[in-house]
Amino acid sequence: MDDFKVTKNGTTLLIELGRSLNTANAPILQEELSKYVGQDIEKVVFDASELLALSSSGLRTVYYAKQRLGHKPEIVFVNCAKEIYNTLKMIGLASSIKFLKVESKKIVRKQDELDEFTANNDVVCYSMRLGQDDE
Amino acid sequence: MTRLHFQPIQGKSLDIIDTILQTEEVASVGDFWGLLSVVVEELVVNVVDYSHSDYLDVEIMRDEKSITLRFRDAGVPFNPLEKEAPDFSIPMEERQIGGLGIFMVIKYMDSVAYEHTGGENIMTVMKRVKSSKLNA
Repeated sequence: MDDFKVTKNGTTLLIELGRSLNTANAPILQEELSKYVGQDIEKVVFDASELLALSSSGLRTVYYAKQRLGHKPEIVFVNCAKEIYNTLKMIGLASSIKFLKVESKKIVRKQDELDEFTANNDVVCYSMRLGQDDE
Repeated sequence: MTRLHFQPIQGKSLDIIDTILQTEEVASVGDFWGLLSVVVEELVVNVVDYSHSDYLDVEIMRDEKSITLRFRDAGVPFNPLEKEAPDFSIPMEERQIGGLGIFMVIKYMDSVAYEHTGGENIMTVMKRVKSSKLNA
């Protein structure tokens, strides 16, 4: 995947990034994000699992998310590669961004599926470990 | 060594960047590819957007230990190394993006040199890259 996907869930925006966030796609992502201005976004989650390159143009989009969406929403980077983390740290953003490590996409999907299931069904969920297949 | 010649026309940055990134030398840098792609983008966009040059020549040199890229244009004399580094003490919500590009180039590469000679801006960047997948 060398593009992006934006999903709004309540007051959270999930942005799944491809291999690069650069001059080729950052302006398009910023235009997409502009649609969410004024929607009281509280958290912007960048899924950086595939991200290899983050240019200044891409960083502009991260700034845009912080400065223009909602009231200074929390910025989260998920599964950031070491080079991307070092870049964000190098420019003094490490303390302004929350970094999360998710073990596998499968676990994320299962959590999403679980959330969706519980949201749409009147059931009581029993405790289960995330990522564990139902027997 | 690969020599490339471009017309730095507005709107053509992506084509120029892609052409450079697809050279054998750049493709051989392994894990450094992501950061090198950022360096190439920053330097190409600078020339295309600001130099007003009618050409951009790029030389790419690779040996077992390093990769070197040299960018030449005949545009407005401009030494990006004289640009002040961004102020990173400013909170994220108040920052401007300006100056980040060249700052990243300097940080990612092992050497960055600028000269203005014969009416040309010449920007040379070098990175020591150990593992080479070059067959040549």
